[in-house]
Amino acid sequence: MEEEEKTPITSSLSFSVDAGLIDRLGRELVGRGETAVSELVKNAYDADATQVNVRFIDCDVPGGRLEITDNGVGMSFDDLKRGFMTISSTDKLHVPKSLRYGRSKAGKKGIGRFATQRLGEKLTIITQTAQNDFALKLTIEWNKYLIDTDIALVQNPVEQIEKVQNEGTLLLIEDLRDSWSEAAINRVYRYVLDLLQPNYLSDRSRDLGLAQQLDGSFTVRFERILYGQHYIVADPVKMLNEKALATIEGYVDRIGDGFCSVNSSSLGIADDIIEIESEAPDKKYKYLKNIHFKAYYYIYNREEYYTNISRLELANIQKLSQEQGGIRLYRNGFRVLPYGEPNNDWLDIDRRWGTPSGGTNVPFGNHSLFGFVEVIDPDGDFFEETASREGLIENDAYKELRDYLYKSLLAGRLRISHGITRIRKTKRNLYPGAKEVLDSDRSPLQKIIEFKRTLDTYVSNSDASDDRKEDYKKNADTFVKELKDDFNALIQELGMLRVLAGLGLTISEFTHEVVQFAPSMNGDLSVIADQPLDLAGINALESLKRTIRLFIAYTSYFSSTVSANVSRELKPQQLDIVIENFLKIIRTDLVNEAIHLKHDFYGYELETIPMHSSEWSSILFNLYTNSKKAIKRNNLPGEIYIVGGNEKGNVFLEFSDNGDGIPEENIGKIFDAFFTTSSPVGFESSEEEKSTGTGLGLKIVQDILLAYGGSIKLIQPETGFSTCFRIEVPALIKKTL
Amino acid sequence: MYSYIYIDDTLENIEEGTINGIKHGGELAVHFLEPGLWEQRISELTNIINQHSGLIVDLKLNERANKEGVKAQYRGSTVASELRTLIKEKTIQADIPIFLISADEKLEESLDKTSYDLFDGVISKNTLGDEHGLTYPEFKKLLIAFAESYLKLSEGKALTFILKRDDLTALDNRLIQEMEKLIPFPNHVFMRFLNRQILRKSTVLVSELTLAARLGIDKSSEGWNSFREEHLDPFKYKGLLSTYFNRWWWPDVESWWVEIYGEDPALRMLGAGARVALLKDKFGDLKLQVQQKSEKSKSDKFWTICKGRHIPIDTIDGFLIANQDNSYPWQDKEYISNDEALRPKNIEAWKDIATIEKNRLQKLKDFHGKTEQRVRR
Repeated sequence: MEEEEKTPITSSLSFSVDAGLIDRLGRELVGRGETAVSELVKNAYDADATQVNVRFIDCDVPGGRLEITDNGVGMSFDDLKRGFMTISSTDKLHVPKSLRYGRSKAGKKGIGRFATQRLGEKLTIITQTAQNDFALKLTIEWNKYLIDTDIALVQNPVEQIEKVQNEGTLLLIEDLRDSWSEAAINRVYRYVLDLLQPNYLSDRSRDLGLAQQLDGSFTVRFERILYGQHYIVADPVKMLNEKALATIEGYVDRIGDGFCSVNSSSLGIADDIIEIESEAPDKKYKYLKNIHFKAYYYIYNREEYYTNISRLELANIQKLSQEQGGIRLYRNGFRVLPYGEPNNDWLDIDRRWGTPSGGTNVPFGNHSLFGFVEVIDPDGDFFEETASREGLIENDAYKELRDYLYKSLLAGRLRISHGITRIRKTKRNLYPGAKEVLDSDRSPLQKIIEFKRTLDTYVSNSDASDDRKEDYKKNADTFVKELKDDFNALIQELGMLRVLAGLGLTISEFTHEVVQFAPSMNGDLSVIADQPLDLAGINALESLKRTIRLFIAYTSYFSSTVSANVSRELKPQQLDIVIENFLKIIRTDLVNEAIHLKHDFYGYELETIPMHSSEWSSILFNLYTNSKKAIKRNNLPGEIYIVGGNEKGNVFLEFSDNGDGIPEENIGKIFDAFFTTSSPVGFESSEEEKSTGTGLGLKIVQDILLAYGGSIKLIQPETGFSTCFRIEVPALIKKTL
Repeated sequence: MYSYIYIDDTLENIEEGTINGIKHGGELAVHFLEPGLWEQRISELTNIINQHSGLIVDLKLNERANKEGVKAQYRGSTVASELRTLIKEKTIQADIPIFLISADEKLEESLDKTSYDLFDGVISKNTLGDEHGLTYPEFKKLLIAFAESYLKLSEGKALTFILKRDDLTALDNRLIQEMEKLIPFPNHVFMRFLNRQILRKSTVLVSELTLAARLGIDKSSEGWNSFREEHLDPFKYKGLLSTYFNRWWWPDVESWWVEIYGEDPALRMLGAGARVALLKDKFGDLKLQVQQKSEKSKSDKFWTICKGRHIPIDTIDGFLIANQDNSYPWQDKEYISNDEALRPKNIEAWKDIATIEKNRLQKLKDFHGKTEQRVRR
């Protein structure tokens, strides 16, 4: 025993490696889980895969499972031994291009195995090559690589199993160290996007049979599986295709004639063909043949131009455009750099159109385009890469290519510009005031009816069976009826809003006049206060003072709201200040109504995104009025509790009262226009009731909030309260200094 | 008795109540005028103005026709501007105080600086007579103080007379020089300086709140008034406008302290408790309470008053208010407290903090933001 513990002295020494090193290397080389996943995807790319599936299974908590399957060339036993199992192998140095497609290798040297170690405690590799008729299964448990263990002593079993696919590799990583939220998965997906060649190939190139031979396309599919539910992580490129404001597409044919077309359903631009002529006398391109391009065009921050996009989606695409925008060039299916890289303006798009000119603003730059040019030139007859492999030699064909693309994009831009001018005219007609809408209020209805008629005719002439025809017509009837109802409801709401707007103007005039009364009343009061009065006189004076104070409090509230309206500027609103100001105004009213109001603030970053200050007046006054009414109905000492705070990027306000609460059957309706719990007002009702019973209060509050991406909802009130509204508005994001 | 001319285009004589309020007590008379035609009005004013002590004028005179059906085409600031010019030209003999009165919100912001400088004060109709605003007794005090002080200033221009102080050596020399520079100008120029740059700021003259704070005393203490009357009022300011502004000569108070307690330790370096303890050592228990510091303050070596909450603070706990770069060297910088900066209750009074303070406020917000957790019940 003793003998064995002592190492016999030898004549030379070699380094040996402690197994704990694996763990250290894993942590130090691959810091973040996202990087690890993207490295594994890159490895699949380097293995000439065209399809990679990444599945996150039950990953919302640590301990989940990650599967990465590719259809690449797979690994033989030798590959596994010399490549994967040899740390710091030089394989990538010796073979910088992939074998089948000659891809420039994307993965970093030797990172892959550490990436798997970084991600989870157990790794299973099932890999097979086309040459062999079996698959290899290697299992590694990283926990065996403990400190103070000789690395060579840790054995990882390999077995031959039946093939699960013709070729390719499956990485199964179990007992994941981290949890993976949806956001994290989206992030890593974007991260690997850089590798994606567009899955898009022109019909033309397919017809020519060229793309098939050298199909280098590489698709990554991310899936999130939670409790057996599959969620596909959205492919932004696909989204790009579907959501674009316009597509500009074109080709130069076999004999050198150039064409392009613009298509936009949102802008109503039809797909007509524009001829693109070269500078040559015969207007044909001499060297440029079989070129195809397609560009997806966006205008950001103008979601009103689109028919099918949300503000958020558009913002995401804009973010994506920072990296992915521009026109990329693919030669025989492979990306040629640096064309279309960030800051590469090879078509002079930014230089020519970067600054807006007068007239309709059609922003046009690399960031507004996602484009691909496909050059099919298998034998390199026309285009040559430079010796350094960075770009193409600027020969005649290249010059023609730039000429053609420039002219096509210019033509496209012109079409889009027409479309936008037209759409803006329509929009402009919609807004200038209710007048025009009302003048033509019959026409949208007529249009619906005409549409219905056309549809009926179309259905009658179709091949469908008579039963189906009836069904179609019935469906159409229902939709048309609903459309009519919606439209009438909007007209009605608009009418009410017009009345309210008129009322607002009157109030502002009235307020200005009435404010002038205040000092005069106060002056006389100060005189009376110094007169010798009997008890009744003193009581009457006190009551008069209180009434006048209340009166002045109201008028000054309106007066400050009106003067806040003079400036139309939107400013970040700091919620605690807004509420303090509101409380100052209602201070006297609270005393009069015998309502006890308590407020608390949490956090100090309570600034909202820019809003109009009078919008907060509307919100608070509406909630306050509702609470007052509910408290009155309840006939108990009133309590109102206001909480302001900041949570998850939102500023929130909770407004609670101990009134009679909202009956369950009404909860779904309180934000609808014209819904009111106030009974119809009669001649006996007070002015206050008349003006507050329109049923538009909460609707207006909701409209204001929705316009800023905020929300209002009823939530469970705290103990002692019966109703609680919670409002959320996005918080101002402060620029760091 | 002092008398003010009051010009306004009110409806149905609603100015009556305001006039009643001013006249009440019999110290002031009011002569009311409607705007009317410009030439007529100005020539009338030129003739009668020196029979009166001052002018109150509404800003918007052009909204309603007067009883003769004449609608004015000018504003209160136009009248003031014309009168100030006539005074400078000596067409009008004596300079007078002019107050602007208006129902417009945020008037001071909408009035340009030149117009603003024509007036001795701007009175908001929204707060006149309000218990939280300018009450009538205070308003009367203001009108009387200005009428009286303008009159005195036309009698003598020696600084010792204006300030009612024999020894000027204890005062900052730059302040003396600035005042001497302004004396040859029309009286309203000097009065504006005295009013806005000295009495309404913390300078060699301090308010009662500052005075109490610097001695560590809670101003609401039972014994404060009698202590102040006996020991501090000898240093009270008795010069122009002193019937409206209660101010104390700080250099004199400080000398008084040094005489009793010596220079070391300096008053500034003592906490409120130590300051009051020293006072009690010398004067016995005077029912003076120690001023307590606010929730988020660290120091009770009080020196200034938070502009938003009117609570005493040490400047180290304060945040410098913006736009004070052009203040005079003898004016104390103005601050708001930690509490007000974190949770503004009265932002109208201070608008914004200085740029150099923003980072510090951010850190303070981060610090306190982390410690506060909401628990829903």
